[in-house]
Amino acid sequence: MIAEIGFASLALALLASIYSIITCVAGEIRRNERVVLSGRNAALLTTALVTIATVALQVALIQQEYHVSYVWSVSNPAMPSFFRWTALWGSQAGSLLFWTWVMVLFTAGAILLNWRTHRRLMPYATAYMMAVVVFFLALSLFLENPFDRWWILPDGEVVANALIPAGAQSPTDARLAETARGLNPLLRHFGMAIHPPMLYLGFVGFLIPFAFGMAALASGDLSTNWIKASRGWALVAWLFLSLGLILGGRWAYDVLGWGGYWGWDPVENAAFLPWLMGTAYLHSVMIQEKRGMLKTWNMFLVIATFSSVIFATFATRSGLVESVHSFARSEIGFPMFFFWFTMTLISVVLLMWRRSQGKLQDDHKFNNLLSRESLFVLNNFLFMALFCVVFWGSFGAPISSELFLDTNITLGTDYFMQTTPWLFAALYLLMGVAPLSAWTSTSASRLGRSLIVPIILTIATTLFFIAQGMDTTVAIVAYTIVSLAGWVALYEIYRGVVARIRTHRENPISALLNLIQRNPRRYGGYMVHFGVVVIGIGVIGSTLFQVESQRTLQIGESMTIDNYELRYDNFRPGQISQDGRIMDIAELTVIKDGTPVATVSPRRDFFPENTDMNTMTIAGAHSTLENDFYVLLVGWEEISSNNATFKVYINPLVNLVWWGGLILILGTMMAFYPKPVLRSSTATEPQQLIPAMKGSV
Amino acid sequence: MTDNTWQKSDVSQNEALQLLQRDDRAKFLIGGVLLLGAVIYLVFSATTNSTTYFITVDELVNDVDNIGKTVRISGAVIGDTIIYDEQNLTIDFTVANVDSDTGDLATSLYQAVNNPTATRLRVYIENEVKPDLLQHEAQAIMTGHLGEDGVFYATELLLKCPSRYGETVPGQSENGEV
Repeated sequence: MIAEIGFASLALALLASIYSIITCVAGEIRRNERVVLSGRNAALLTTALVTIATVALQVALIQQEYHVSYVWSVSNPAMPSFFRWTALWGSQAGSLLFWTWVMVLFTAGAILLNWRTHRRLMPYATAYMMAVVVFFLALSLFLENPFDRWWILPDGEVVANALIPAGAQSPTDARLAETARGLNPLLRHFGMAIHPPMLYLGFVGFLIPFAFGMAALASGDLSTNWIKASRGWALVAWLFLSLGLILGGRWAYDVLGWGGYWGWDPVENAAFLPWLMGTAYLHSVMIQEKRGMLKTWNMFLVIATFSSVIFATFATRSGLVESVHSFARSEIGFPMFFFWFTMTLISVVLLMWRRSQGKLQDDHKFNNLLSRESLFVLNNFLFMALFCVVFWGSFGAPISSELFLDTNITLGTDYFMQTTPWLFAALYLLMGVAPLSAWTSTSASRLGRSLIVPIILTIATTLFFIAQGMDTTVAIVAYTIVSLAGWVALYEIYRGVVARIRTHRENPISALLNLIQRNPRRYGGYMVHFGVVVIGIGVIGSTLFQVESQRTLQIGESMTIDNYELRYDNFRPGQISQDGRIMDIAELTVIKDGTPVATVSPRRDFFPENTDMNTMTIAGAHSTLENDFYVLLVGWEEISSNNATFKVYINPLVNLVWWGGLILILGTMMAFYPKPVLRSSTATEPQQLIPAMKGSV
Repeated sequence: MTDNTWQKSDVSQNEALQLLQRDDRAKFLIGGVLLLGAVIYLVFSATTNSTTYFITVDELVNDVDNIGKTVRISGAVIGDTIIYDEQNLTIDFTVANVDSDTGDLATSLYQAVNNPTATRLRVYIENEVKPDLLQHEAQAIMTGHLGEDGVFYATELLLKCPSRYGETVPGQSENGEV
């Protein structure tokens, strides 16, 4: 029953979304308000229907309705109930539905929050959003239906189909429960439970700025309205995308057991590409808001960001590239490619058409090399360069070699390690200088003067690192560049606070809070920069100074690595966990300078019910801010287990990557801080009274 | 200072500004070209340095020129050939050539391991913890070189199970399992 409800809601949602596109566009062209409103309501109805379908699938998962083939493929009776919730995005069909659901929620949010404030853009924006929804609904309905059920045909063949084939019978529940597959063990991790939703929220969130941009082109309202309407949404999307990337790294670090968190794998890169483009966009729109420049370019960036979101989805789900976490090769590859291509083409053509009408002319010209706007352009250039470098390495080179040279080449991690550090270094350097330059024009000497204090602090930091025994040139240079950016961010916040203390006679804490409240974007931005600096310090430390060692130990024996000692104490084989996995656990003590500091328990899990992938190596880690002591159990003697082999990594400063991520998230949230309601004595613009989401972030 | 000098400097300032602007435009152009050149050079040199050809086991074995060259290959793992030395962390196993024309990865892998005439290649990898996915009928993607002794010395091993995210039919899950 539940499968029928889900299937019917999906089918109705497809009809409602198509209706919404037609009425929104037709109503707007004929200036018929009633028709437009009908389209708007149809879009909201789509949201309700997709929500029903998603709830239906979730209920089917929780009630263990194994006759639904999706439920059968991602769960089994032994699974703990928490993973029945997350199994919703455990495989292709479910995750597509989940993706569509997130998309319609965003759409409804945009319609409800922006309809009044940006009435002129909304009908076209709604139509654009619904067009993307239609495509994903069609994929779900016709190619990857999560509501397919198992049927036994009269000739004995077993098929999955949404509707009952003639004369077919349903297999017995008992039989299905017995063979049900269970969730891939790799996905049974807390990080994996929240990493995909975050990433989807980030990906899908960029639909809203894209739709607003396209609506501006379609409606002819090419003022900064579309940017104002979409600013909050772009920031939300960026926040979730960043979170998704960081959580993905954390999951890889905890579960994949290779001591790292980023491997330049094509699928990781696919998710990184929209982030690069989106970050360029977030910076670039500021020039248009402040100076009315780069209008075409910003439009291009918003198109490119969403286009790379769809490309990333296509690359991940079609089996285009060989990767650890690509989905199985599937039928949705071609339709997705086609959709990506047409969508991008239509958007670019629309943009070129408006440009040729002369409607996207800039209000000012660039006239100073060190002005804030010029440095923003440099920022954009660097983000684009990184985008191209990463794209070429992961997709460009392999695909073009196959198409044009009839060979199949890949560029490994080496390629990325040779190219990206330069560009990252340039970005960090720019992050240190750009916030201090002024709009329109800045002289080199003025810029130099404002850099004096941060430079002194940076030199002090570098000397501190050298005194700590760091002697690698690469590391010294890298840390110097990164810490300059950090000091600039902190120093700017400090200067703001001091100025407020002086002029308003406030205590430091309320001065800081008021400062943030007065200009949340600016100080939130500094906070984000500081978070990125902390991540940078962590990445440099864990990349350049990782120590790796392996040894076979007898119980009671120790090994020395760096200034640590690791003692093998005990082995507990065959521990059965709640979810049916069998764990072999080794217990070791980490000793530093003669005193035990921690016990770690690396283990090997065995999943007896899984046929394809049934073992998993889980690292034991001792984390401090200074480093991670990361131990893997890689083998042991089957009978006595007196001897066991361990692989040990010491990852210096790796925890700063996660802490930096946290700062970045806080900073982005700070940028949402609603502006205070201004008293009538000060100049009031109506828009400043509207809270963050409505466009005054 | 008199008014006169003020006016004079005003005029010359305007001229200077225009000159400066023209000068700056050239700077923008030169700077842009230099930056672009640097990025292109970076990508070009890194590409030529780290290009690895992805070839089949058949192509690798049938061309003597390939001995010693770093290549990337993919093959179907034959389960009972896996020898894992957990003390020294070495893995020794054999893969069969995968005929990619069948379209479906699971079928291709099944056919590869069960085809007695498919080219087989012994693979040896050092300093590698046995990956959880290294098992019968998994697809192994390896980077390394073919030695004079006909063994493929891998430096990187990536594994993929066709059914990880895909779906199989209930009745077949038992038959398919070996």
